[in-house]
Amino acid sequence: MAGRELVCACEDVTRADVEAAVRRGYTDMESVKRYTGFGTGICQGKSCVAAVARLLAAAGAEPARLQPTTPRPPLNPTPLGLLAVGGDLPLLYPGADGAALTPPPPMPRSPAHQEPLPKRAEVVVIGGGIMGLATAYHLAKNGVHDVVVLERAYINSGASGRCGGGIRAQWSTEQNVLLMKESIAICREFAVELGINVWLRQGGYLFLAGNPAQMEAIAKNVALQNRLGVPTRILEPKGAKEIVPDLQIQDLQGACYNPEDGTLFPWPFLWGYANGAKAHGAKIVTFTPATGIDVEAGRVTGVLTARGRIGCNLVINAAAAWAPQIGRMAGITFPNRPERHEILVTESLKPFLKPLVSELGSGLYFSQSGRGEIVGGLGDPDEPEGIEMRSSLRFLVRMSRALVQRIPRLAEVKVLRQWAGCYDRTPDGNPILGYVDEVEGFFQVHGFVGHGFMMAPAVSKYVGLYLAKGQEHAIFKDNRAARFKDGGVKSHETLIIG
Amino acid sequence: MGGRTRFRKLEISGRFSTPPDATVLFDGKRYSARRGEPLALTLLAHGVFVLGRSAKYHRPRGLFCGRGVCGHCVAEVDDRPNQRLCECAAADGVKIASQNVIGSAEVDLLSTIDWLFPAGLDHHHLMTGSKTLNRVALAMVHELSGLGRLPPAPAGALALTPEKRRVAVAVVGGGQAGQAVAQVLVQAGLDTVIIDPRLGSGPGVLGGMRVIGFYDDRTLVVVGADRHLWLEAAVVVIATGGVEQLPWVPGNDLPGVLGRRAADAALAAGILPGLRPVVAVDPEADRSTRRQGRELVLRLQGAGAEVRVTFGLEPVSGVAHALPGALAEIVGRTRVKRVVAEGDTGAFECDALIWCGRPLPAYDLPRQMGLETPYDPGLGGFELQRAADGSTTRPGLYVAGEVAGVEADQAAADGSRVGAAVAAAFSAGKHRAEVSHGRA
Repeated sequence: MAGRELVCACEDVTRADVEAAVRRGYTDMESVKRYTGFGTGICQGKSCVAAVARLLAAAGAEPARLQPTTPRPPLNPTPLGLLAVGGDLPLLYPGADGAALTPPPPMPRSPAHQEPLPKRAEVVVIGGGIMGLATAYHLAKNGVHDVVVLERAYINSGASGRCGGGIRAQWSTEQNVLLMKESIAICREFAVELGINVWLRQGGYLFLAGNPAQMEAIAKNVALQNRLGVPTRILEPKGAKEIVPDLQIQDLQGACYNPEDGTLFPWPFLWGYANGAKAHGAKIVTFTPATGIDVEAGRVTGVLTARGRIGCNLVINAAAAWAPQIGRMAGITFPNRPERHEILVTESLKPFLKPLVSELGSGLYFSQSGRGEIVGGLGDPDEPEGIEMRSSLRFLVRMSRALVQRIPRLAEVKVLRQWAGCYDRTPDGNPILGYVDEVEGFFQVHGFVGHGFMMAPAVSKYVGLYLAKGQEHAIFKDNRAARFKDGGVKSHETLIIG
Repeated sequence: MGGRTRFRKLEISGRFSTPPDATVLFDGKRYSARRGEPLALTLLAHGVFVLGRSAKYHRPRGLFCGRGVCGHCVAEVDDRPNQRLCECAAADGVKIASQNVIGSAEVDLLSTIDWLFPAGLDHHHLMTGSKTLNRVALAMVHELSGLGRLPPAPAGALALTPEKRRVAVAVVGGGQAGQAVAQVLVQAGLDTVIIDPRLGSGPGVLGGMRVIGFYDDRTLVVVGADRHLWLEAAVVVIATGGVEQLPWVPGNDLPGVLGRRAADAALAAGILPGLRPVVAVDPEADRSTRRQGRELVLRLQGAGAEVRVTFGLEPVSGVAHALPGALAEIVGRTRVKRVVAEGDTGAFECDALIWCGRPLPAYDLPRQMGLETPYDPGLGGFELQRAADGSTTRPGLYVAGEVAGVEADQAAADGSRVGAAVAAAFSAGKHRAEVSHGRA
């Protein structure tokens, strides 16, 4: 049968699958990996990468621009129990105590020569993550079709494509609870509205509390959530164990659980918005970092890239961890700080874990993906600020310890890959939204502190309605950039995890 | 022992003077085994080719690489999921269960997915036309996801503390090149260790262990069944060899399609990879691979296999069809039954297809250490670049043997050369036997 050559026998990816991905516009190694799933199985890409490269070369990729997918340790599937070693923790990142020899991994390159950029656009969105793509979709859908999204690498290369895929309405401020109720409702309709599966699974979020202060916070948050129509319940430790039978509960005081929270698969979420935006006339330009913003007489006139300038009157900064850099291009300082968060994924197992489980104290979170893998992360209190996307042994050890402690049965489950992405942290845990006072035509949609992925469906909808139709919404007043300077900080979001 | 076990029909007759000394269970049936042999070969000896089903299409899966690299031969072993049967040693009473099977490994109900969707099942757009159907379909897909099952908690928690060790040279990979490197360095008096999962442990050898990554710009993390070691070395020599690739024809994933090294391993263990195997050499393979293919045919014949057909080899006595052309297709339902030659020049019945392709560099570790891996259109894969003495763009990192693009037949000589270069660099004071960086 034509095309039935197996490229990746771990994940059953055939030649026809790769060719179909290329026809749909996924033409670089990293995108084809994400679209077809090749290289994500037990052999960790040892037997398939070359075959895909040959197919991409045959489809027009320039050989000199091909490179293998980014190496993700561990290089062999390794049981969590073997990694959960005791003793001192290793370094935070290479060179933390001296000069580093290892260069950062090379920037992924466009697989072939790219078409010239448009000379002008009505709107340029900087950042092809979930927020930029969803914003472009809502702009185009509401009549602003002449939108160009600039993405520095491939779609899913930033934090949106590196996150754990959790979506929840359990938040500590009214605005966030309401936004997330709406986002979850949008996610439920996403596959049909945007024509691609995002594997939404509403298995709930189970937050675990280990001390009285956390129990108090839970009580307060749950009361707020219940008042806003979110059915979160407070549980005794044994109630948590009923939901996750393998959970170790000795050190717990209680838990809270909202069965309507859940997880979805990040990658198609971005492709769905990207394709939706394109269908309404927007252009998504990948492998093209913004290098500057032209400001004349106090207003934005264009965006510079290595491949030329795009004249425009409106620039949307949706660059998340890079948002402060983009701000500086227009002469504006934002208080957000990038901060690495690491994550790992295990081999896939038959379904056994329903909710996403998270510890309020440590920030540990993990869930079982639609494909059966355990996916999870754990913030590090010592993580310094900065854009850093290398993986650390320190995280691998800390995460393995935390997982095995919480579910001892995970000791024999093997880690397949670890990677990192950056949170975009603001001083009050809330985003920066809307125009800035200093420069006209410079709109901000960033500062979501690792949760922009789940908030994008609702937030981007309001950004689209605001910019295209002039519809006001409280999020733009409450989340002005100027609030940090003029004493306008109203509330702190405390339920940040990861 | 005892109980009813089966006859090892693919065991090479006359090879053993004693009967098998263990019994293992596969999907509830008993099979005689020889202690210590890889479980994948135990089952092969009994003619059991189908070891489980694949993740998405429930295609049959069997042994392919035979050396713990690919993901074909995974099964549950004593309740631990996704174990490579080529890496698990047979012992009396070991329980093996095929994975992702509804029915039996041979007759799996969900293999219908495979023929219902001959052009492939596009999961991205599955049932996106209707909300209700979409929800049902996605819930069903989730229920079917995953390979193995969550294992029980281990009886005794491991609670390891990492061992820490510093050496002058760490040689990753103990094949011909790695051994040759180490031999030169040990003679030069340098504190050297070889790390290789296929070697036994001994002085200077971390056997049964693997490097799982290079972290913190200095630490090779090396793990074994119950060991976890942080190794720092002034010089790292990578000799991780090559990775065998599947033949590039339809049916390439069928059980009974074996890599050359798996066939070699079977013969070495006294087991025939098939009674009537076909040996196919990639037309683009290098001279070493062709030589290995030819020698494999002779060994198969010597062990009693009937090799009627070869591809890409000069005629060997006893082989009826030495086809000069390429393989076009591999045919079979749950295992190889027939191979088809290019250009309709014939179809040949067989019970195994042994594929001798050129292995591609196992570049994961050097790439993680920062080496570039440009694509070579001639090779059809990614390669590492190095200087003639094996040194690379990263100070203190050398590559040797097949991982550096050297043919198998020259790997040992290359290893000796690189070893000599490393020793000379130490003598010249370019590297210091004491690891200079690092914490106390």
